[in-house]
Amino acid sequence: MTITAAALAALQLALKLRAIAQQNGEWTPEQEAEFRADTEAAFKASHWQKD
Amino acid sequence: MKDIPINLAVAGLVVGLLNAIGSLLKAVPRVQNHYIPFVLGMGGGIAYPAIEGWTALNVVIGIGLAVGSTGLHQWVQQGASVVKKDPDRTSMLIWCLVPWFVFVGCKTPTGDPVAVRAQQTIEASFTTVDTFLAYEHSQKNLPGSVQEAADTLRTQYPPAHRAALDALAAYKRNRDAYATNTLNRWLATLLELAAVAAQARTELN
Repeated sequence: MTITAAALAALQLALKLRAIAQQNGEWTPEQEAEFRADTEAAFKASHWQKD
Repeated sequence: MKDIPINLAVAGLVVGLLNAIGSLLKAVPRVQNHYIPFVLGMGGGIAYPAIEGWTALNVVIGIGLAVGSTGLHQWVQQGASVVKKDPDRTSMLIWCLVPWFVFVGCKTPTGDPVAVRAQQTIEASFTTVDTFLAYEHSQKNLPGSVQEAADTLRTQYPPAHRAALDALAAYKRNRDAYATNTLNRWLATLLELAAVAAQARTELN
């Protein structure tokens, strides 16, 4: 991985984390259900499966 | 959070003055560099309230401005050195974003702070681990320790994540000390797992 790609990946993660830090209200039940569904779908993705 | 009443015109004047004093002090060989931030801090603590009025808050604002202007000076100096070393200027982009992160920063929650911080921890931990696993999955010939960390996370993270979400839901139903403690225990577990991802990631750089 080049330094540029690593820096961009780090920046992308930092932006996501910053957006999370900007939240200042509690999730609504719909938002919570959506987050649960999204993360459960992610857990089924190939990068979450052991080889 | 209450707004802090800073007079921006006076603040600008004080910062400019402190930068000028800082430059002069650097030119004096007898003044060692590590004393300069302290001297400027004292200067800010005097200059700002001298103009705006002698209150404890104004002294604190003055010291804050002095420390901020010292930090700004360092940021510019280090940024210049980073740009010289990185011809494709990606570092410069990141460097320019640093103050934005610092000054725009985290908001104070308007909802229940326990619930808001809990959802932020759950989401941030998930994002950190997910990003790491996606990267690990896309690479070949990574060190064994990194693959081991990834496999540990694949096994241990999903159940801890579900348990933390359940603990958050339980907390929202019954906001007592027991529910708070249970939630905090699961959040600590998620943070430990996110730290495993962050540690493994640093081994790759």
